[in-house]
Amino acid sequence: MNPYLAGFIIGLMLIAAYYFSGEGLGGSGAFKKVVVATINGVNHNYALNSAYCSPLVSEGKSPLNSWLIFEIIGVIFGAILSAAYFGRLNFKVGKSPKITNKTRIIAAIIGGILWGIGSQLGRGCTSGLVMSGMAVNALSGYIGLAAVFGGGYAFAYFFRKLWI
Amino acid sequence: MKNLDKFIIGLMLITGIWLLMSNNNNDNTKVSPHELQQKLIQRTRFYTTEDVAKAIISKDPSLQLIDIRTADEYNKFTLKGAINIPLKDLLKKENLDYFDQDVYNTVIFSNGSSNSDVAWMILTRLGYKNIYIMDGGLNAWVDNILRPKYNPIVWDRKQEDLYEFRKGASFYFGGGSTVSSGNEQASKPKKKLIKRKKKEVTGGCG
Amino acid sequence: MGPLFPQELISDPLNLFIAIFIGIGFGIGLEAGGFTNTRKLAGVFYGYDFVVLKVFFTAALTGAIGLFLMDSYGLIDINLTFYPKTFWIPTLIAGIVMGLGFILGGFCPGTSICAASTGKIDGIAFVGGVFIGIFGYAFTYESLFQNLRSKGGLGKANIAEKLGMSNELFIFIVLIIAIIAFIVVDKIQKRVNEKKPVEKIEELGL
Repeated sequence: MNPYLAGFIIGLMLIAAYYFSGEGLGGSGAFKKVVVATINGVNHNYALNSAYCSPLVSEGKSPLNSWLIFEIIGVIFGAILSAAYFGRLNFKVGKSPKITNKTRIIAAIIGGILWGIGSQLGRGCTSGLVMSGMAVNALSGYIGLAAVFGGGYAFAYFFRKLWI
Repeated sequence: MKNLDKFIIGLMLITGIWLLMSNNNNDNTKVSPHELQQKLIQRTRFYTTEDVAKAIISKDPSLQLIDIRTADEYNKFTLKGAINIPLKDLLKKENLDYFDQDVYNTVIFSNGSSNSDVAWMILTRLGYKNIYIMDGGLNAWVDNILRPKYNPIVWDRKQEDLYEFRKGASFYFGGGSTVSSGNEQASKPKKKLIKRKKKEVTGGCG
Repeated sequence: MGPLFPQELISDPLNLFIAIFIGIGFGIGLEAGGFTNTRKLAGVFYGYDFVVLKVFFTAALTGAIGLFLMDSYGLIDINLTFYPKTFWIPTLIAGIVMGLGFILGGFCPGTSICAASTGKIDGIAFVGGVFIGIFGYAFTYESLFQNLRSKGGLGKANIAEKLGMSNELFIFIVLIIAIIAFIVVDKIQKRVNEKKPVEKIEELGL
């Protein structure tokens, strides 16, 4: 699809999210809630005493009963719909032909771990921190934009073999 | 660039310019001086003392009386069910919650009309709706309701009715020649505060 | 008017129901924009494909223009929405960590969910990595991150206000920069791909 059209659709969803629910679009927040719900399910007392989990579990409501989780369920449906429409619903590994699948998978896991830590420390990922922040002129969104893309460009040279 | 690219970028540019032009439109939650003047000229912001008396007697649930005099004066005498918010504390957050709602018709009163008018103007400027003032304040209340004058020579029928009402109201409020009964009314508990519902949004990824 | 849910104008179940539809739109936008393809995503850092930049800035600017336009006509009160608080020190550090994660992993959390749900194995691995990262963070939060996380707090900081201009003007400036960037990156992309042709992404079967 035309990238501007795709961006326009996402932008409209962003407006709708703010208008109906007062929320920005998010990604990592749903991960957080799944993690907290898991910890809470395994050991409720630990979750209550943990400074990280307790804000989400102390009210007695499941952390999974939240806007972001439902939004992400929608994202999964939407992605599958779109991929089916464009014929992209297939098992593949996206990588440069110069590296093996194993290298790519390991890099993806390490990248994921870094995102997991970064998104919790920085209060959101590209969606929740940067894009939703930029939509309301929040300073944090622009700091995040500069740091994520600045960091990306700074490290790009060292990991070029993964991609080019 | 493809046509669709140009179309979407053009659309963003046009709406962006529109946004830039809408700049002065920004302060829409507040009332412009022009509108304020219009509202000031109209008499609709007034509740007469009789309106207030009727509302109190009929226990009108939509009535919220705000006494903007000092706490001392409030403790000496006030109207039944009135809440005391001294004028100097008007803009405190917890006090504004009484006005920032659309459940009650809020009637402000003080001794005369002028302090109430100041409060009314500030609150209207903040964009709050259904704010009224009691015409003439408590001075008029005492004159009209508690000690109504009877002057049959120059009055017509309508004024006769008004007098009858005032006399009735005077009995209800324990008027006649004294205003001492106000003391016990002042000790009525404060009306439960109904805030406009605003949830703190606790969203976001963090 | 808006935002509807924080003012309790729509119910909790309806709000969550709407969330699913907003998510579907978001998912379609991400997938159709090509964000499930990591090579397309990483292209922005090497100059061979700038689709990320185009989608991302179009989305953020559409959102910003739309929201502030609605705000200026009183359709939404941005102050009542989820307005992110700024803690510049952790955001800056975390942003750089995420930048490194971007180069290594080739996704961000939102796009990895799309990639994983459409069968991209590296996407599934990335999602696993995010869970490992957050579990690790959760168990070390009190000893490692709790202090750092609230350093450099600036409250609900607005960048336009910090720069001393109106929201509208700031968005317009960003819009103009973005449009110039859209034109420039097309030229860069053309030159990079001529000089050192990267295999066409479609040919990689993604």
